[in-house]
Amino acid sequence: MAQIQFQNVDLEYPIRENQSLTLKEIIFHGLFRKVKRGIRTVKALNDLTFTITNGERVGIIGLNGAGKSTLLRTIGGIFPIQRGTRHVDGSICSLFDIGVGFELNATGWQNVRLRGYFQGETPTSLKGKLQEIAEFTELGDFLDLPLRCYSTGMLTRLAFAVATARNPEILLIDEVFGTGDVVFQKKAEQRMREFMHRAHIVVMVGHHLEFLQEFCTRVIWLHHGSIRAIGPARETIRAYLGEANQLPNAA
Amino acid sequence: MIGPQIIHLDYLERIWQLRYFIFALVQNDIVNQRYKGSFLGVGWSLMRPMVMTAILCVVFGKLFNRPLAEYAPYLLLGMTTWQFLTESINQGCCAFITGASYIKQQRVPLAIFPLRIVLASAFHFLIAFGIALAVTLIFRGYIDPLALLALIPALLILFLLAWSLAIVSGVLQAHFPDMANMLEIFLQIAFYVTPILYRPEDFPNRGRLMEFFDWNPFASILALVRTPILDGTLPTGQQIFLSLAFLAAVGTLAIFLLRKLERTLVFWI
Repeated sequence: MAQIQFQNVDLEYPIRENQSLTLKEIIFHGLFRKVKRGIRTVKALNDLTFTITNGERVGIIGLNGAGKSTLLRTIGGIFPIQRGTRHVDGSICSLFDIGVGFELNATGWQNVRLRGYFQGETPTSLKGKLQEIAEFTELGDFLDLPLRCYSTGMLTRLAFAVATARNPEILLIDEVFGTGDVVFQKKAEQRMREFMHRAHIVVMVGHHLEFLQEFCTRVIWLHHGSIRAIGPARETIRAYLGEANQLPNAA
Repeated sequence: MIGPQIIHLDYLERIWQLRYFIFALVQNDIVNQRYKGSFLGVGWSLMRPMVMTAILCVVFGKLFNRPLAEYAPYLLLGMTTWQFLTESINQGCCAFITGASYIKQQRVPLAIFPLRIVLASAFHFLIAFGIALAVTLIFRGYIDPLALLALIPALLILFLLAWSLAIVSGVLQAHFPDMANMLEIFLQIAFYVTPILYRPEDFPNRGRLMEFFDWNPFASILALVRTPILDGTLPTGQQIFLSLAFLAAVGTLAIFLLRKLERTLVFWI
């Protein structure tokens, strides 16, 4: 049974004001305590408590900078939490930035394998999937070329095909992907839906409220790193829209 | 549930689970990255130490007044070993930064990224080292088979040391971007105060200097590799002890840094 449990979770992260903390700053900080260190802490998540159980499809909404992506990465175990407890049962697949993490000098095939291995596949388990992935990308002989020769659309197809060729229990998605040309988009949508239906739990961040309302069973509304509301998709999105429309710069 | 410390016994197991990923990355680093479209390919990584050694043989062999048959194997074995260590440290600095796109997507044991770099340079090292052995065989006509046996623990120590050093330099570089430049200078100095070009015995009045060479851990590591092949004997007890102590110290530091900083490293890259 897949489950995600957050109890009073706080997350802070350090931000370097200039690009990075130099040795000079460390030494000066050590010698004369007065010199300000170039680090600020940002409280990104504040006292989050929620439980997501098997079968749920949860959307995360909120304004820019509300901590949506941070929450998703915290569920995925990428960011460490400062306080509270995080308990996640089940294999996780995360689709955050679809285009990154590819080796541009390696061929399409090599990247498909590399990606698969990164997500825990073995040569044997990958064997059966290679053909299916290749067919979906429609890249044909291009798969033998290094990735630096690919167009953005081709790269996206490859990334998307590899990412969705798994059967995770928990699926974390950041934004809905904009993929390739129109024909591919329809195909991608179909595949994405199938992929999401296979997972036991789906948590997704998105600005496409209509889609979230249709797909999600529950919605978490984040505001400045805290949960503003959590509940059934329709009501929560309506409340969110009601408030967002009152903002002076609302579209 | 999630403390700052995540190095438990299962850490190595998690690394093992990612073995195909690591090998695919290393393969890519060796085949595609460094020599893409170049004529000699991997041969270039052999050319550099060979050409360097040839020149040094001529210049320093004359300077130290040592016959080529004796000096060339000494220099070649020392140079290849030293180059493996410096490559691991220098490239280890960017281990986590180049791995950032993976680290930010999925939780992975971070030690695999320095491991990837060390494995790629170990590949080049083993080829160069094989050539060094061949050169020794040509000049000397004979290598004690027992010496080759003694090489196994020596190379294992060398590998673990390189991995630990790469972890340490990678963690430091992620937090202090000045690290890479400082390490480069440090290694430049270390190159000249370690018996690579010369033997400690080459100095006319030893005394203090000799004592320094005795305690230089890099010198001990080199002796671990060089002595069995060149002299047909085991390194001295002190050299073995110093090498192991050095490995233990750097290894402990690497584990300590990962325990302390592995979870928050994602914020700095």
